[in-house]
Amino acid sequence: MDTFKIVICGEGGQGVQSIAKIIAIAAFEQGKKAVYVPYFSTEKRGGVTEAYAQIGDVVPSYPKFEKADLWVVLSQRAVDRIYGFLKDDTHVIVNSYLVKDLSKLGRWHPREIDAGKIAKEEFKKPRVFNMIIMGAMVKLIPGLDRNKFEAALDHVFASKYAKDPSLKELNRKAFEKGYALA
Amino acid sequence: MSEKRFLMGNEILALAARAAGATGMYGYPITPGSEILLWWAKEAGSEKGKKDGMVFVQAEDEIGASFMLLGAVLSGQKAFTATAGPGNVLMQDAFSMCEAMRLPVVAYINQRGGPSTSTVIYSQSEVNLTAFGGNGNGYRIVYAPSNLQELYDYGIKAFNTAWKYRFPTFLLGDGYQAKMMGEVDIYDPHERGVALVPTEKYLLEEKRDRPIDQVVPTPEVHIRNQDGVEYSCYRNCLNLEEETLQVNMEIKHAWDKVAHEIEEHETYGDPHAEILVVAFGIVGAAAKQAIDQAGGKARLFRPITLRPFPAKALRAASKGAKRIIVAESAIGQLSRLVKEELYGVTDAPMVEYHRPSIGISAEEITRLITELPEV
Repeated sequence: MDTFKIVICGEGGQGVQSIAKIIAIAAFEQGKKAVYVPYFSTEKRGGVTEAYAQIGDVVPSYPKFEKADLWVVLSQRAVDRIYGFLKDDTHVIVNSYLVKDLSKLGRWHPREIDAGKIAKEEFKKPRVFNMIIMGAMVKLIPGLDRNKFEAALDHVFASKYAKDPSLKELNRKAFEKGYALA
Repeated sequence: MSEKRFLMGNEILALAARAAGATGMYGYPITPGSEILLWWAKEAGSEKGKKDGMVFVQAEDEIGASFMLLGAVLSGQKAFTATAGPGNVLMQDAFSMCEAMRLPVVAYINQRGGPSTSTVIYSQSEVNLTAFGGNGNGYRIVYAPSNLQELYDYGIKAFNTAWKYRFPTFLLGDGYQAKMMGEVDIYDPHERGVALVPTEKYLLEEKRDRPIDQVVPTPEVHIRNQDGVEYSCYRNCLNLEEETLQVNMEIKHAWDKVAHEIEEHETYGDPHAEILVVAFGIVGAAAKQAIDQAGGKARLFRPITLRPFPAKALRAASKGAKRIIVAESAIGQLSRLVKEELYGVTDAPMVEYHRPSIGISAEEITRLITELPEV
């Protein structure tokens, strides 16, 4: 497969880096080549943060790129921040819980996922927000097997699941919810 | 045992130092390299680390850390530090002393934005400082890796080079390489036939563990015999102009003898392509992608050692080039090295693409290759 390029942007603390990193690790664990780089600065909360991941059979050593195949925004001001990464055939996912103004994105037919609301109301756990987003993203990444991806998640979160076994089922359900919505 | 792992650049560097047999790390945390210290602190505190005699010290600042490193090396420990940006500035005093005393220290530098505190993120603007810092007449070795595997390979090699030749040796990475994660082959250097160069006690008037003639290169060190015991004398403070001239020339002579053995570079692409791109480090990686995208129009020259600079190889590569593009995330630091070596060698016009403290994508370099008017 050609290298698939992903950019994700949101507020510091929303899990932007975790989402991109986990997708890259899980892709590696199912035999794909992957590279991830954060846009890191001095802010943790209160600033906009970006992450870049590339997945494929051969992945270049340079971790950044100009145009994305999958473009994910988790907050309104993230839209402008990574707007330049859009090309004609980019897949767009928006967290509609915080991204209300889609006027600039119409031509990309964004997949609107109200991950904040679903996490709070359906799962009663705001923390599964990023599992829902991740599920939606994985559906759009070619060459990734959903079951293998879920197995990789179990591995990534092994120490957390050991402390709180109920989290595993919760994460899986949230992941599958996002997958179904994309 | 070789193992494919998915790791962050800083973790890879810490593993490289461990694989190279380093037991000591002296540092002060600074983004984007702090995870190297974090890894080393954890490892040194583990049962295995304690058993292996690992030491980790977080000093009061980079000045303290770098002189602790120097002391550790004098005592015979294989030790290193890691820093960036303003920390790299503060450590130059100690590194200059290492140049004077021919001490083999290793420092992993991950370039961040400058000048001063600037950003914690990325740049290629610590070339001048890393390759030529200190108060003059010093010699040092600077490797510039371009991908995660090279962080590991050259992270190990830096130790062997330092202890073999006894010049301070730097691995010059950047914030992208430090913070990115990807696949890397982690191996035991012994299994690849890479022998580790042993350390040596360099303490003034310390009895040597092995004959001086087995330490390479040796003749520049003053050896004193007293009561049948051989002492090696290391000085960084000299009295006379003549004496200083002599020591400076001895160090230069030692450098001139070995520099050609240390130089490394990589070329990539069709050797007959008329556009020559010169880039180093992570921008070198982007340039490779660009050369693939531009379909035979350009080729790459990537210095792996920024000092000693692979001058002969660059001059050879410049033959047949109708245009030379130098791309760097700094204002004219690589360009200056290139111009110095190509002066009088080529008539090809040079395009200097300077993007201080911001990444240069493969697409940007592709446009430079394909969109400039024909020469």
